[in-house]
Amino acid sequence: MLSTGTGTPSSPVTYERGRAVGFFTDTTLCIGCKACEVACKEWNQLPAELGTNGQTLPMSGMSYDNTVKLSGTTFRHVRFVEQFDLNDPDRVGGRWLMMSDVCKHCVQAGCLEVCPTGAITRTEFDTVYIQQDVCNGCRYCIAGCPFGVIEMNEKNVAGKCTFCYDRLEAGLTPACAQACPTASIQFGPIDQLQQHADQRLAQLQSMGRQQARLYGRDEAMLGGLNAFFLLEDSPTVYGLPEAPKLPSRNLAASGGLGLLAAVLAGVAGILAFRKRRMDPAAEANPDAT
Amino acid sequence: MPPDFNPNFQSPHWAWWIVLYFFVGGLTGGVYFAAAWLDLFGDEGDRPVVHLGHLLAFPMIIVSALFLIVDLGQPQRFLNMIFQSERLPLPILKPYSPMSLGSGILFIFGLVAFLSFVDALLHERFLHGIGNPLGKIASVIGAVGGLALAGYTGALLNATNEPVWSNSPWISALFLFSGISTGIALLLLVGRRVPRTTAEKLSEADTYLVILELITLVVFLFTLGTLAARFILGTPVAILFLVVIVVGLLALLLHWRPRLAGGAAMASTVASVLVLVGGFVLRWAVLAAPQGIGL
Repeated sequence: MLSTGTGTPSSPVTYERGRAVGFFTDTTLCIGCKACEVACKEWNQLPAELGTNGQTLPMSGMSYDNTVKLSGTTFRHVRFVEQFDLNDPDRVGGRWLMMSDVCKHCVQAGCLEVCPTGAITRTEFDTVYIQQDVCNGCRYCIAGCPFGVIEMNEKNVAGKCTFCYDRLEAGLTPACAQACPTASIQFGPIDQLQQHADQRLAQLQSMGRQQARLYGRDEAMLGGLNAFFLLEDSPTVYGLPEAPKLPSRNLAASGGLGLLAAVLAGVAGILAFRKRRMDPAAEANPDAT
Repeated sequence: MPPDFNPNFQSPHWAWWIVLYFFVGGLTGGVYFAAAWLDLFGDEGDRPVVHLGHLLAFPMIIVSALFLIVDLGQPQRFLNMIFQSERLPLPILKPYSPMSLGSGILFIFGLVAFLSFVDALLHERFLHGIGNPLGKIASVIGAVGGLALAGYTGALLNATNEPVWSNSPWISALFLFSGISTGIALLLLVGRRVPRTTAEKLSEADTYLVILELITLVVFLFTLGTLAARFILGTPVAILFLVVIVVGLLALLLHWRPRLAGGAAMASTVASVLVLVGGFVLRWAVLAAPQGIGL
């Protein structure tokens, strides 16, 4: 059963422990109300983003979107993509694209891969969770995430979407999906979400919206994203990488070249250090420099 | 831009403590490596430098580890990188996480450096005395550890999704050559009264390594492709890379023509300072490329 957030608030939904759940975010339905951001902040008791003076709320000055990006204390962020021609005073051809962005809870997660402490774990719901009491704030997960999701929070440890793990344990829908008034954020078992997404994509394309595409639905992208999206333009327009990769993709080449460099350094050392063994004149004159 | 480029990448804010950690870590690896290599392949005349390297490496690894710990958001939890937090004392080691591997390298290298340090304080009585095979084993482990310490930080940066860092696998080789060359430069600088033959050996080794480092730096910049234009060439970070290249070339010139500095001793000193400056600026430059020159 899918929970679309349109039922009774906090009503139980059907899913099982040990079965992967996810978010399907249909950006064509997003109206940019930011109810998901507010619900997330409320439920997870996250502080507001403050300006550099630490007191006032910042204004981006470039958009109606003032939270601008995901952070250690903003686990949902509604991105406003404002496609308008500045030379068109009537703004006739323009459009708004809105996307409620979130941690992708990747099946192959870059953050989980690089975390040196084991603070980042995979839960029984196949979501990715940061244990706040184990993280030591090394910030490697921030660099390892292919989507730029993670940042430090006010406790000086890494913060990101928990997939409302506490709510999942209690059989509840995550706060953002519960609050979404247009069913843009849909929650449920991942296989059901994928079926629904395929149907929705076919529907949109039959309506002539050929730009519509699914992002992260398939295993080709990091084993599949447990939070995947329906987009109406290329991923980069929404600030997403075209082909996100795991940090470990570079290990073989980097390790191999490091090994080669080690051999070369060793050979250079041997050449330099052994040379004068065969030079009796130099050995007989060990003057200090 | 490459297809894995993330337009919304977040900076890990690895700033001055990490620049210092990378620099001193590489330097330490280089110092121990040079001492170990002289122990294994040098002769009796080189023993003062072997002794000096053993005296320097352990305090330096402690200092570099302190830089790393201070940079953590929760410094009191630094042991979580070495032991499983809920199953002490079981170690944690994730082979696909260079930071986890690096913690292991620091731990093992630190142990060997500690043994050599104590032995040096005791005038090589139990480990590195002449004919003691245990000392040779320690030198081999320490040399490998020193090389790994110098190079793993580059692999760590490469195993991310930050632009520049993740786009060229040459950073590990670059940092390794740089770390070893700075270690040798420090030995030349500190060990002013070492035998002339040993100083010549070290100078020669440093010349090879600086050449290798400069070649690798050029290859690194070329392999970045379009990212180099966006994150380096069009930014103040380009100045840092230019400084690295210039000081490297000047150091080579002084090794080649010592008379330019008024003699071999002065040339060696100036060249060593240049190599150390270049090593520090290189780490600053690489860390600054996606994060900004002010880090």
